[in-house]
Amino acid sequence: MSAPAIRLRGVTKRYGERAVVRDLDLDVAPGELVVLLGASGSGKTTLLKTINRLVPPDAGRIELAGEDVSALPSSALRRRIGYVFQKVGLFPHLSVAENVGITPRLLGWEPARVAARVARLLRAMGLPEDVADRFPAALSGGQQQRVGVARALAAEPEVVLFDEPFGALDPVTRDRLQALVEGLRGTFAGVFVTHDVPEALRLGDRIAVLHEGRIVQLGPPEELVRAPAHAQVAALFEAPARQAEAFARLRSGDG
Amino acid sequence: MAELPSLLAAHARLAILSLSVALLMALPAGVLAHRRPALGRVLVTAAGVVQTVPGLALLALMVPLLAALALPSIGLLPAFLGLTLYGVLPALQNTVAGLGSVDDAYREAARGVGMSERQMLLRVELPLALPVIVAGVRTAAVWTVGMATLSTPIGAPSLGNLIFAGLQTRDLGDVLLGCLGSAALALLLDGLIRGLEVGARTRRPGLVRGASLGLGAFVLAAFLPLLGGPERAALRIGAKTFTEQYVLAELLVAEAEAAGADAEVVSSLGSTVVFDALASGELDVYVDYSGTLWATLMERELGGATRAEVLAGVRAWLRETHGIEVLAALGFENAYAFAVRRETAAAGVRTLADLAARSPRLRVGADYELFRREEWRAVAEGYGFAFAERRSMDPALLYEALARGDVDTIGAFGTDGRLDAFDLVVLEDPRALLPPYDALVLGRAGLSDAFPAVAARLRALAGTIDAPAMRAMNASVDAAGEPPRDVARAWLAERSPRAASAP
Repeated sequence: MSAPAIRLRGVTKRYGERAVVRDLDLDVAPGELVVLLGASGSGKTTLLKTINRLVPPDAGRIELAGEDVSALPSSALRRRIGYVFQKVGLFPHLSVAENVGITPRLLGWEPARVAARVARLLRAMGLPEDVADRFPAALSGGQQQRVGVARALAAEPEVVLFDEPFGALDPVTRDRLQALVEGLRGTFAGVFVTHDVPEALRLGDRIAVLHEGRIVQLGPPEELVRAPAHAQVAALFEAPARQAEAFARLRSGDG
Repeated sequence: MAELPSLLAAHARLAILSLSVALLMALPAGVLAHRRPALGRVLVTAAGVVQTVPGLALLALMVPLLAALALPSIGLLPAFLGLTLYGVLPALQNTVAGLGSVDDAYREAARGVGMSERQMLLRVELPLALPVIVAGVRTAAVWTVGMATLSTPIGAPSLGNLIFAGLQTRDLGDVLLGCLGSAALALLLDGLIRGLEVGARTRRPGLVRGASLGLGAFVLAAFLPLLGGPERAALRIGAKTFTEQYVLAELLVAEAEAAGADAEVVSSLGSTVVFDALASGELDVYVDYSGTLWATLMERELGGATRAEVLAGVRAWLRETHGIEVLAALGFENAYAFAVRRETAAAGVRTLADLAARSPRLRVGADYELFRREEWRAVAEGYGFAFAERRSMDPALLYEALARGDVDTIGAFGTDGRLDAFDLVVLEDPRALLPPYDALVLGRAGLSDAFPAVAARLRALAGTIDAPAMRAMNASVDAAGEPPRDVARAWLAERSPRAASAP
């Protein structure tokens, strides 16, 4: 069996006395999308950022495809990992095409190859062709985050990290972007942070529920829903379940 | 008027050089200060302290500093250093502020896409901070161009030459020309820098190209005159900042030229700057006054010494301490004297003793120097001055202020043409506390060996100008508005038949 695309062993991060991520293990298989789900402060974003060292871990070991990456320079490590930012993080002084092409250019790709890759990605993201030369400020929030996803995928990474990327979008736009990520499923190993339960259920091959810096349950969505192994997990699903029932009653006219 | 193009170019050169070096220092320092806030506070504070020194004083301070380091202490170097220091603060402050204003989300994004710290600085932080940084650069540019007018008193030609000389000789056209020229240069430079920034930010290649071409042409126009050969004449003749000095400097230039030497005036120098420049050999000749040297440089007691004793003492001291030769005593004195309006004199104020008796009800005006000089201390203590008010003002305004009644007495110059023009009365000094002020042509050490013909010609000026003649020449400039150069040459032309007939 091939090595997992991402392997975390004993990863720990403390801020002062407080451990935000505690001695945590996680494997992500090639092509698999693992969602980190949890309340605010559960440590899910911190854990995500330890993978590309935006947050350097205090202890533990991180492997990509079986290779210990602790010796890699941070910038080299990050060029191998796509990252979709929570606040979008497109550079306002660069055009859409320049934003998307950043990492390939840092890796020294030929300009023609960068241009072709950018054009293909913008098309794949469902963006009109004329956005390429525009500046991020001229785009809608949904378009901006499509560009953000394109930028993360630009250098053909084997690993892509998503830091609550759709949290600020309206429900319709969010639905479309979730569909976009679903469509990309299998082309990379992904870790996706969200506190939105339906989003986690829709996108995750497996879901890891975090509580106080530990994974309290890890499994496919149906397993978590049917057999919550922890009070926190059960609590997480209660609210969306009630909402779904209320929605179903309204739709059937039983209300 | 004829010198406007060369002054504009010299002014622009000085500003460009100073601004460039200031930016080369300020921008990296700003980056460093942003990275290391503790060091940043030290740097910004240091630049801020420099900024609190008034511009003229900062430039003037460079003179003794450079002299102490045995470097050229007047001219381009001190002006360049002073202006450079002055230009650092706005650029430094805005670089720090601009980098500080960049949202950390962009830094995280820059790291996240795989930039090194250096790439992040160059590709994200600096471009995002650019508008704020450029605002600082523009402030520095405008300040530097404006302050370059103050480099005239330390011997670097600039549009200040027109302003300083124009104020002294009451040529307001020249003053206006200097101010407008400086303002135009500042606005032009500011506009070009702004054009470059806006063009770069909004990606308008046409604008970037236009602004770059404009800046290039600006620099070229400023530096091109230098290709025309060395600007510096063989002999440099200094002048302090008042009319008589301009006239005498022109007169000395004319005489040097008559002796076959190429000579130029370095005008509007501060009074200690001019002596230091002669002592260090950067000036060849200028006119100073025996009493000034006696009191200010030799720090001798005032009162008691006769005109001949002072002259002999000064002559010996200059030779022994600086190798400076007194080439000629021109024949007149330009003493510090106290003047009053005719009606004050008619009311019984004839001497400094009379003045002292009434001083508690009177206001005294003087140039910037007098109240700090030995001469003032001597008369104020000797006669018991206790004036109700003291006012320092530009010598150009002094006589008019007295005539108008803004002050009741002034520290005047004995040969000033405006004493007659405003019908003012000079008070007697019965205790002879004010030293004699023979006008002396001073030549730097080694001048008579290097330019024997010039030295001989200047020595022949001894005793040729009496006080009425000098006062008349001053009045021609101050009252009649004639250029000092014309006045000096007219006097020489009138004298020449006699000079030619002399053995």
